[in-house]
Parts: sequence; C-alpha cells; structure tokens
Amino acid sequence: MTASSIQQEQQNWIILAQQGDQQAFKQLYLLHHKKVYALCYRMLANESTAEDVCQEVFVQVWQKLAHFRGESQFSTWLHSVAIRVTLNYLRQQKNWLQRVFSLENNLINTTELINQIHQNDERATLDYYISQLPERARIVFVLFAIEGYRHEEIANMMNIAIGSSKSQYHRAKQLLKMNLKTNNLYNEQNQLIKKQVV
Amino acid sequence: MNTSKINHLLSDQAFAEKVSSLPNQIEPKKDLWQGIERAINYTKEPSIKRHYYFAWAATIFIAILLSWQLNFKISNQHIVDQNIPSFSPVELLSNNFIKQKNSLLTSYGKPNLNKLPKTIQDDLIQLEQAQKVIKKALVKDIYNQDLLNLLQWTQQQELKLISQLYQPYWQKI
Repeated sequence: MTASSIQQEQQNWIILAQQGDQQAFKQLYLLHHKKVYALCYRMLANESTAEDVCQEVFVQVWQKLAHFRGESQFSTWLHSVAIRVTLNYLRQQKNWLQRVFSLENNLINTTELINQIHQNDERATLDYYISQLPERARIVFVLFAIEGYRHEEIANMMNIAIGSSKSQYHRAKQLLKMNLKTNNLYNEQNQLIKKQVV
Repeated sequence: MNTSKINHLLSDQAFAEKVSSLPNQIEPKKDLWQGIERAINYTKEPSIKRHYYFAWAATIFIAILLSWQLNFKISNQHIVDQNIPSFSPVELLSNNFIKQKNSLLTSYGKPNLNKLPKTIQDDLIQLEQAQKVIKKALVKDIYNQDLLNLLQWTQQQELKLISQLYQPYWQKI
C-alpha cells in the first residue's frame, strides 16, 4: 500500500468516524496509537500512566473528531491533542502521594530498561536516560528534539517563557550527554574486563 | 557506534544522531482499544446519565430544603412556644378567673370585700377553700376533667355572687 493510498484510506476513516463509525475510528487508532503512546510514554516516563493517558487521548479525539476540519494533517492534530491531554494530566498530578507512587512504579518499570542498557541497546539506553530527566526538562526535550516543535510553540503549550524552554532543553541535553558518556565508560570497562578474563 | 570513540563528551552531531535514531513508535504492552471502546460507548449516553444524576441531585436538594424549612418552622414554633409560659389547666383556669374577678370588681368600683356581711364573707371563704382543695387534688392529677369542671364551677359561683352583691339595683329592675 502506497503512502498516498494510506492517506486516502485515512481520509475515508476520518469521515466515517466523524459520522459515528467506531470501526473506522479503530482503524485510525491502529494506524496512530504507537506514535501517540511513544509520545505519552516519553513525556510521562511511566508505562502504566502512559497507557491510561494514551487511552484518554483517543477518547477525547473521538469526542472532538467533529471539530477536525482537515485544516492540518490528522496526525498533527492528533499529536496536539495528545500533548494537551498529557500536559493536563501532569498539571493535575499535584498530589504528592500520587507522585510518590508514580516514582515507585517508575522504578519498577525501569528494571527492564536497565537490563537493556547492560545489553548495550543504545536506543533503549537513551530512552531510559530521557525518562530519568527532571520533569520539565524531559517534556521540553521530548517536544523539541523528538517531536520537532519550536521553542515558541513549547513555551505556549507549557505556559512558560521561551527562554525557559531553551534553558530546559540545554539542561536536558547536557544531562543526557553526561549520562551517555558515563554509560559508555562503564561498557568499555566491562569489555576490557571480559577480554582480560578470556 | 564505536564506544571507544566516546571517551570525551558526546559531540552535538553525534548526540543528534542518537536522538534521531530513537523509534517514533512504541508498542504498548497491553491492548488499549478495549478501554477506549468502553469509554466511547459510555460517553454515548452522557446526557441520559447527566439528567439522571441531575434529577437525583435536584430531588435531594429539594428534600434538604424542605426538611430545613420544616426544622426552621418547628424551631421557630418552639421559640414562639417558649415565649408563651406553659401553664397547666389549673393555672389557666385560675389566671382566667382572677382576670374576670378583677375586671368585675373594677367595673363595680373596686369594692372592699371585707366590708361585706359576714355570712356572705363566709360563703366566699367556703368557695375559696373549695377551690384550694380542688387545686390540691389536681396537683396529683392535673388533667382530671371532673375536678377541672368542679373548679370552674366554684369560680363561676364566686363571680356570680360578686356580681349579685355589687350589681346596681336599677339593673336588677
């Protein structure tokens, strides 16, 4: 299936879904949910929360689908909804108790990622270190470096100054570079030890 | 990427390459569609649910309002009742009798009863004593209707006697 035919198919699903066709909406979900989940997971740094928020994103998309006029790409509109829902979730999560439990869950969920790091999976390593960034730095980094938003847009979405968005990105980048370097040194030492043992 | 080259801080270009190599899709570990489908079907009937809850809320509100008003009235009634001294039937009859007697004597120019003939004074004293005895009996049984009627009868006899004693002669004619 070519890109244009997928685009045409998607357009039909959108029209049908706007008329209340759940099966058409499911097709839209199947086409986009992995990207939306990746965005939610990287912004929230927690698997189960990302699953919940991802579901909420699609529920809201279903409810607001009638307002989608096709002025932008559906994927762009969908991502903007996903970012808004995720940021709203983070704003609402002010309760310290929730944060404590969220942190605990995070520690449990990252076990698998740590194993992947030891297996020298570079992409998993970077995702793991992104998840360990401070919340604001992490969100700015995900939106700027991975999702491709401009600092002006990020500042507007997060209700912060443009300069703050830039400084948070710089902070995130420095932390990630430092952690990656430490991880590489660790891997190098491990390899040397293995060679000496052999 | 050869890890031996990264002994120094990662260059911006190398870092950007790493970031761009991140997958733009991640598969969630569980099927999210089921939850979405349930939520979508649930949100199809928000107006019914909202009306249902609104009806309940309105009913509860009205019930609370009515009970509050009722309590308010009762409490006000209680306050009003508290303002009126609560009398026993004996006290009510006695107070009423005293008012009527004073009113009657006032209408006759407040005559001195001690100046009445002794026989009449004795009759009045006997009526007073009868009233005292009846009142004593009513202390033990305050709602005894026969005793109350008897008390009222003695009071009426006293008032009749006073009325007969001091009524102007020309009115008798």
